[in-house]
Amino acid sequence: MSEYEILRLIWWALLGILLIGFAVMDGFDLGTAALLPFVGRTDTERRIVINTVGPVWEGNQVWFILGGGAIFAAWPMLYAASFSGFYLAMILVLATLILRPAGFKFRSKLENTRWRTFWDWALFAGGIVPATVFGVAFGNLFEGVPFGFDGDMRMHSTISLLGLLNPFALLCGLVSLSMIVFHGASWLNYKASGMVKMRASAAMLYAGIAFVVLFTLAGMWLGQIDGYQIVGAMAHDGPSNPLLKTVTRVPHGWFANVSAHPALLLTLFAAYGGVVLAVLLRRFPGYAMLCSALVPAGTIATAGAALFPFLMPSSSEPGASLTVWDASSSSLTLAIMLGCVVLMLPVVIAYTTIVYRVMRGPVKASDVEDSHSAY
Amino acid sequence: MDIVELSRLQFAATALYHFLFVPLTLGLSILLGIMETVYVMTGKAIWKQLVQFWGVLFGINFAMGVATGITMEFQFGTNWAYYSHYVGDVFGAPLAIEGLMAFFLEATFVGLFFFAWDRLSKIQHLMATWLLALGTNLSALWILIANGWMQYPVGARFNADTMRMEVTDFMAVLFNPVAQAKFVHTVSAGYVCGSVFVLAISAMYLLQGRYKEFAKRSMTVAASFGLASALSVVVLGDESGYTAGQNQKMKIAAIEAMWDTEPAPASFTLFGLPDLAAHKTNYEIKVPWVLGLIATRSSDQVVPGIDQLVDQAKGHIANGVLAYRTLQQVRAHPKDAALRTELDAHVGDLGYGLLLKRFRPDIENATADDIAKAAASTIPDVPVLFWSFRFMVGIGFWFIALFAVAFWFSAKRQLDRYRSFLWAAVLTFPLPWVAIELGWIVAEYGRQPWAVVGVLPTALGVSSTSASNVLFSLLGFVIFYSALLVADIYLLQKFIRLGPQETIELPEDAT
Amino acid sequence: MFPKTVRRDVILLLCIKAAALTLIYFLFIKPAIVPEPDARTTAAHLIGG
Repeated sequence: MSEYEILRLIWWALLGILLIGFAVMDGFDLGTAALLPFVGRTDTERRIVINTVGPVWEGNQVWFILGGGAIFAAWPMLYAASFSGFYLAMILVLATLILRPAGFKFRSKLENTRWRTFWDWALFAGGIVPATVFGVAFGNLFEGVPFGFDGDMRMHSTISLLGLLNPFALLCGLVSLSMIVFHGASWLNYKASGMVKMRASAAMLYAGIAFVVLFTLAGMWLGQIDGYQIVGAMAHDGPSNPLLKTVTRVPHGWFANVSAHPALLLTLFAAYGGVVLAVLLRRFPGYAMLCSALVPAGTIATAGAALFPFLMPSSSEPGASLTVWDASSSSLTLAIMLGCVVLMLPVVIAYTTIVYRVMRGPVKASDVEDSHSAY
Repeated sequence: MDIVELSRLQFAATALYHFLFVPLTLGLSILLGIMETVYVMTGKAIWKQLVQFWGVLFGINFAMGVATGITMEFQFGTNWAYYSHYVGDVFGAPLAIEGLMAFFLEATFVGLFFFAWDRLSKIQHLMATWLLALGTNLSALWILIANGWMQYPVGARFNADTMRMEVTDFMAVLFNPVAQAKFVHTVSAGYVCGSVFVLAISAMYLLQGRYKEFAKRSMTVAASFGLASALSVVVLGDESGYTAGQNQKMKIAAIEAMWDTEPAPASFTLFGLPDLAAHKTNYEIKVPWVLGLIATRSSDQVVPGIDQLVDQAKGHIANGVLAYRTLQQVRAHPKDAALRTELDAHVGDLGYGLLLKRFRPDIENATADDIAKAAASTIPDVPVLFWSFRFMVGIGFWFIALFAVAFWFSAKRQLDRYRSFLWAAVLTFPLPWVAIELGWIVAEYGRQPWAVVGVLPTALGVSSTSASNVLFSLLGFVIFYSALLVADIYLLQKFIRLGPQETIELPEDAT
Repeated sequence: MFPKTVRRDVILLLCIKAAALTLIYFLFIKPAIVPEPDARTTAAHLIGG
C-alpha cells in the first residue's frame, strides 16, 4: 500500500472519529436542549437543565465546527458537493444553530417570561433540527443524490430540499434524533437533580426504545436499497478525480462490507448494547453515561463502515460518486493535517477533561437560584 | 441579481456582521487578562469587580461572535463550492487548524471563566482567562493565514489531473508576509476596539459622577493598552502597505487612485476625486515621497500605475489563454509528457486566462477586444477604496492622539479633570467599528475581481445552486442577524446603564 | 490539582506523541513534498513583477 492510499484510509477513519466525537460530545447538549421544554416545567427546572451544559456546551460545539473544517481540509470535494448540494438543509441547520449561543447567554438575563420562553423554544429548535438533519443527510448518502461534474470539475445537481426529505432519509433523521435525545437524557440523568433528573431517567427509557425500534427498521430498509459498487480495479493512490471510474448499483449492496468482514458487526453490538446497558444502569449515572456514548459511536461506525469506500454516491451519474480514493486532498495536505491532529487532539482532550473535572457534580436548584453567574 | 452578486452580497454582509463582534472579543479578552492579573497580584477586590463586570459585557458579545462565526465556516461550502474545490487543498487546512488549536481553547476556557470562580484558585482562574485570550488570538492568526493566501497565493501549484491548486510548501503558506502583517494589524485593531470600548464607557461613568474608582482604574488599563495597540495598528498598516506594494500592486494603485506610473519616489494623495471614466484624479493634494517610501521602502523603485498594470495584465491574459488551451489538451491526453511541459511554462497565468470566462465561455477563441475587457476588469472599485482607506487611516491617527492624551492624564491622575476629554472619549465609541469595517472593505473589495489573486476570479468560485436559494438565505440572514443585533445591543446597554454595582455582587471591602 | 503520578503519565504520553509525529513526518510528509516551482514561473505569475 502506498503512502497516499494509507493516508486516505487514515483520514476516512479520522473523519469517522471526528463525527463520533461530535455526536458524543455535542450530541448530549443537543439532546439536552431537545428535552428542555419537557423535563423542565418551571423556570428553575429549566435553568437547571440549561446550567448542566452551560459551562461545557461551547467547547462541545467546536466538535461540529471542527468536523466541518476537517471535511474542508481533507475532503474538499465532499465539503463542496455536500454543503452546496444540500444547500437549504444546511441553511436551516445554520439558522437554528445560530440561535444557540444567544439562547444560552441571553435567556436568563431578563426576568421577562415571554423572553425566557422564546429562548427555551429557540434552544429546543437548535437541538432537534441539527439532530434530525444530520440523520436525514446520512440517509440520503445511502440512497445517493443526483449530481455530477463537468470537465472543469464544476458540479451540477438536481438535489432539492423536498427530494432530501424522502421517507427513508426521514426515518434516518428520526434514528439520529432519538439517538441524540437518548444521549441527552443520559446526561441529564447524570448531571441534573430532583424532578428534572427523574424525568430524564424516564426519557432515557422511551428514547432508548424508540431508537432500538427505528434503528432496526432503518437497517432492514437499508437492505432493500441498492448499494453502490466500484467496477473493476481502481487505483487507490491516483489523483483525486471522481470521473475516472465506473460504478454499478448492487442489490443489498450496503451489506457487502459487513458480509466480507463480519467483525464489523461489533459496531452494531456497541450501538444496541450501549442502549440496553445505559437504561439498565440508570441508577449509576456515570456508567450509564459511558454506555450511552457507545450508542452514537456504534451507530456512526456502522453507517460509515457500510458506506465505505463511498462518501457521497451519485444517483444520476454513479461514476461521478465521491469515494475515499478520489475525493481527498493531496498527499501532502493529508499528511500535514494528520500531524496537526496527532499534535493537537490529545491536548484538546486533556484540557476538556480538566474542565469536566472542575465542573463536576450535579446542578441543584440552589446552584441556579443563588448564583450570579449561572445562566 | 445573479448568483454571483447575491453570493458576494451574502458573504460580505455575514462577514462584516461577524466582524462587529470579533474585534471586541479580541481586545476585551486581553483586557480581562490584564485586569485579572492586577487582581491576583494586588489582591484588591475592586479589580475582581472590573473583571466580572467587563466580563458580563464580554460574554454577551462573545456569544454573538460565536453565533455569526458558525455561518462563516460553512459558507465556503454552501455558497462558494467551486472555490472550495479549487483551492480547498490549501485553504481548508488553516481553517481546520483554527478549529483544533483556537476554537477548542477559547470555547472550553470561556466556560471556566464564567462558571468556575468558586471552584478554582485565583491563579487557576487567571490561567483560564489568559488561555481564553490566547484562543481568540490564535483564531485570528489562522483565519488570516487563510485570507493572506487569498491575497498572495504562495506555496501552491495547479494540478491538471485534479483541476485544483495543491500545496507544495506549507511553511510558505504559514509565513506568508501578507498574512503575518495582516495578523498583527488585525489583532491590534481588535485591541484598540476593546480599549475604546472600555475607555468610552468609563468616561461616561465619570461624566455621570458614578463608579469613580472603578472607571478610573478601567481607563488606566485601557489607556496604556490602547496606546500601544493604536501605534501597533499604524506600524503594521505600514507593513501591510509594503507587502501589498510588493505583491498586490493593483490594490495599492487602486487605493491611491494612481492611474499613471509616477517617477520614483511616488507621492501619496491625501485628497482627490477619482474620475473612473477618464482615468484621472482631480483636485489632488499630494504629499511627496510618502507612497514610494511605504510601498517600496526605497527612493528609486517605481510604483506602477493602474493603466500600466492593465497593460501588463493583457500579456498575462494572452498567456493564460495559451495555458487554458494546453490544459484542455492535457486533460484529453493525460499521458503526453510534452504537453505537460508545455502547460508548466504557461500555467502561472491560467488564472488571468480565466478572467475571460466572464466575457465568453470559450476563452480559447478570445479576441483582442475580449482581452482588453478582461484586463480592464482587473481594476477594483477605485473611489470606494480611495476613500475607505483614507477614513480608516484618519481614524487610526485619531486613536493614537486620544490614547496619548488618556495615557498622559492617567499618569498624572487627572482622568476626571477635563470634561472635554471625557466627552471626546465617549464620542469616539463607534469609531473603531467604522475603521475596522472600512479596513475589511479595503482588504476584500480591493482584491476584486479575484477570489485568489492571479488564480481564481471571484465570479467563477460560486456554487451551482439556484439564485433563488441564495436570495432566500441572504434575506434569512439579514432578518435573523438584525433581530440578534437588537437583542445584543439591548442587553449591552442595559448592563452598561446598570453599572458594576447592580450587575455583579460587590465584595464587602470593595469601593 | 493533579497528583504527581499524573505528571509521569503525561511525560510518557508526550514522548509517544513525539515519536508518532516523527514517524508521520518520515513516512508521509517527506515523500509527499513536491519540488518548488522555479523563480521564473513564480515571477511571471506576479503581476508587475
